[in-house]
Amino acid sequence: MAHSWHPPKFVLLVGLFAILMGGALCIPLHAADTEVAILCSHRAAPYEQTIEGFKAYVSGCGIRANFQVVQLEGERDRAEAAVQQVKEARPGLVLALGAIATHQASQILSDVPVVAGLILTTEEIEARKNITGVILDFPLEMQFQWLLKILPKSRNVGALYNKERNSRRIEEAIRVARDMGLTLHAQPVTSPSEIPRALEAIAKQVDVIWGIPDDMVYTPQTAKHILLFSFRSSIPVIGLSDAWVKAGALYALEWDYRDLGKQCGEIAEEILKGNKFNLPRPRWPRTVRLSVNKKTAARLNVKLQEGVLGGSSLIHE
Amino acid sequence: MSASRIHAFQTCIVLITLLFMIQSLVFAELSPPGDGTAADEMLLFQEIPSVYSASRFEQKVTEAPASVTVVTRQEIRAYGHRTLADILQSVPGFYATYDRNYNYVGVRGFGRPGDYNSRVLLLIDGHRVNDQVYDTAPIGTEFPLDIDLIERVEIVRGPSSSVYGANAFFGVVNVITRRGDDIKGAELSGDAGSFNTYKGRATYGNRFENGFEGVASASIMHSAGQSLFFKEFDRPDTGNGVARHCDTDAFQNYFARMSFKDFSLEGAYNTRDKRIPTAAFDTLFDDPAARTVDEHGFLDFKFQHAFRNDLSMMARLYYDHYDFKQDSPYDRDAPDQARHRVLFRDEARGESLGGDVQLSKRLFDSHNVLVGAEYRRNFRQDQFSFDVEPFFQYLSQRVNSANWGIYAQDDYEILPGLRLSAGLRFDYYESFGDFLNPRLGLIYQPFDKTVIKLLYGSAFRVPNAYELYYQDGGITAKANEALKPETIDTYELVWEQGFGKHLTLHASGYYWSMRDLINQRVDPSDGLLVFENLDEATGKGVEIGLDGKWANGIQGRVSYSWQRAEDSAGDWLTNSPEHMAKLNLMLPVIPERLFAGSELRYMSPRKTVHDKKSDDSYVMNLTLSAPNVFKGLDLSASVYNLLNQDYGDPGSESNRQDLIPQDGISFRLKATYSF
Repeated sequence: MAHSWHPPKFVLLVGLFAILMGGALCIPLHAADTEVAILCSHRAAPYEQTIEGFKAYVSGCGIRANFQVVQLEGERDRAEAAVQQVKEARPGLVLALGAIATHQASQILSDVPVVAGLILTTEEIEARKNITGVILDFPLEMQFQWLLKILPKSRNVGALYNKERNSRRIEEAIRVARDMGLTLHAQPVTSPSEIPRALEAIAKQVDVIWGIPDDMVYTPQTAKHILLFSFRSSIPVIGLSDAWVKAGALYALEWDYRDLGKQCGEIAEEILKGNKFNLPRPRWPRTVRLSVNKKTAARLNVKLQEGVLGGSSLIHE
Repeated sequence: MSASRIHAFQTCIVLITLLFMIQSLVFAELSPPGDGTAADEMLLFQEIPSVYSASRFEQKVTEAPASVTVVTRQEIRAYGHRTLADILQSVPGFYATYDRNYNYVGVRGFGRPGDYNSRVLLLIDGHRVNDQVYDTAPIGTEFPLDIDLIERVEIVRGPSSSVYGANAFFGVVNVITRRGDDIKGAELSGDAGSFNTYKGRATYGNRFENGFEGVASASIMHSAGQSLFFKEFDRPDTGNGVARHCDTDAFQNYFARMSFKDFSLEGAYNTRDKRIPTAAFDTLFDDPAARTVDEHGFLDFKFQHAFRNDLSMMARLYYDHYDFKQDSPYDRDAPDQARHRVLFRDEARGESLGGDVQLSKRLFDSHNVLVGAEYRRNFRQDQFSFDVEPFFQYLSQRVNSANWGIYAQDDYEILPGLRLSAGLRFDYYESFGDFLNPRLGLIYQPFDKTVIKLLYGSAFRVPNAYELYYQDGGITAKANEALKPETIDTYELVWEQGFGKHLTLHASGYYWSMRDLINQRVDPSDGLLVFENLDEATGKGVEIGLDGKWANGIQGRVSYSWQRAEDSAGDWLTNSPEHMAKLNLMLPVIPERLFAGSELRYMSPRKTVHDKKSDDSYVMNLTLSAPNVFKGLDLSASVYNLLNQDYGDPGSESNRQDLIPQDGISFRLKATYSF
């Protein structure tokens, strides 16, 4: 039977490897000037990339920081206790990623500067003087400019929304759209079961359906229905993100999450090197990546203009 | 300690480990899954998984007309898989055997010793990899792609000849490579392991501003192997059964892919040199000259475009190269009656050119129609066998062949939640005439998380050049040019059921019936190996698997397969385990810092070619990985066969050994630096 393994070289390698691994795991135990806690709402690639970008920027700008990542695993109950623990550790700065982390940070951390990222609105942080961040959205003007760039003949834009959650956004969008020569046909719904009727109601009026982050209208359960409606009636859907484009939406404005992290890092630098009690205003993401589904474009007879797809575009075909 | 006590001790460890793992899964399921309302931003990040292989166009796994498993890059890293064989044997219903030269895949109870993986179609990015002479799907160290370059592996069970043609008999394995945009820079990777095994890789990949995307990679591996004891050779004149320096393995891999707009060019090349310690085909034992050298290479030029009116087109041109050399030392009678050591050599060379055109279109809102045509010219399928010194030729066979096929498939959404997938392919082979293969699938989704599939398909395999023409002048084998193609019909019922947010159950029952099975046996009249058509073989079985994935990073799969494959006389087929159970579990040990991936595989006894039975086996592997420990440096440590299980895989007619011993406990340390 096989002799399994001969030690000398291997023992040396195991020892070396153990030292490397142990050393690597112990690195954060060394003293650092600033404790930075990172509250992460979910465990997914966009969060990881944002954290990577943030850490890389902060470490590279001369701030000696010790990062502590706290995973909240999407659990609101657990988040409260976790953020309480972070508070007791008295970090110099907190990066809160996602709605759960930002909500708990806004409730519990009143005397620590917080940079929020991957949040869809500023509602939660507007009233707090110790919180700022980068919003996971783009200015309405920019969104409609892209719409006109990709679908230049569009004049009537449809939108489904939950009145209780998104009235303010829709009112603002109607105004901005009007200023840009577009008419926004907004159809409120009060439950997902109303979506088919709402789609039929706007079908004859609109050239395109504009997706907005609304957790009643845009869910995995409703996605198939909305996208099939789009195919059947040849009305393109502007997706919420790359994942939606992959599933069949025509295009979406997507984020560069590493750059988002870097942007959060820049705000952190301003705070840590400057006044901790006069935080800058929340910012829009500065990088936009266009995500396009060429199959959908072909099916809906949408001709993508030359030059629309840049090198950084995400293309599904 | 007696053997039975050792066995009992090992069984206890396995049971305790199983209990621990199952407990982890159960507690993970019972722990609160959150408040049930997704955080707003998660609306943007949710993925809808899709699979390309089952129908040659992208579709959801649940809508594919087959039972499909997808193994991701994350799983490959977490479980420390080293070869494609490692990946396949972690999948429900699949198993792999190793004769200490090549790895062979068994599926659904069929894994005949002496076959060369010709009943599974292997693809890299949709390009056929099975060679032109033996139809072999290379899944061991001779696989042309470094395992680190795999993005995911799509494993489609059942016959798919209605779309892919020959060899898609028991399944199709499509390996999808990483793109430049996935790599975004350079990677250097090195690993060291037991048996003085060292491997290195350098890769660069990126997508540039002008849309050009490219990947280039080179890998090299060398393993000194082990000194192995074979009781069948335990005599003083054969070194008391110990083969020294006869297990060496070495390969070099090169891969490149570039794409711009609708065009892509991809190429891979692998050369592998493996010594053979088993004295297969009655060669001299403990002679390091016994070895095989394999070369696989291909170039694939592809154009893919989505036209207006929902019409998509794919066209490809390709070139395939295969080169094989096997050295076999023999002790022969010379004319002077003295015995001499003679080096006998087999060589095989294959070269092909081919093309493939495919159109897909959505019609009347409810039909997804795919039509295609394929032509392949094997302009070289040569085999030679000769004594090297003094030169004497036994076989010089130069053949070529051509085949073409046309196919169509329609996926019809009859009603919301009810789909019919119907496919038909016509193939014509110069030597064997025509074949018609249908596939039918009825896919019913009565509820959001419930999918039921009723599937039927047929497939064929023409005898390959080796089975038809190989002979070595009456030393060990003779040719049989009267071989007929073999065919298979498969019926299958699949049930996929989601439970809550985290668990998915896959269950399937199947029955297959194969006619004119090509099988290697020893002709009692002259003692020579020959391939012959058996009457029929049948198989039936049940596969059940439960997949779990939780937000806290725990994910795993537990599966059980029962299968019974027998020939027309009702005799159990060789190398066909009746029961298999597998458990895979990944979990974070230190969040963000350290992850553990463990797999446990159980296989019940298998019948050997000498009508005996192997022991059952429990193999457990464990990998610890620490990602990004220091600015792009990933480290991992793996232990394979942690329980040091002493087990063997059934040998073939060419082996004197009834069971070929497998590796005991072994280790690997790996570091990858990305920059």
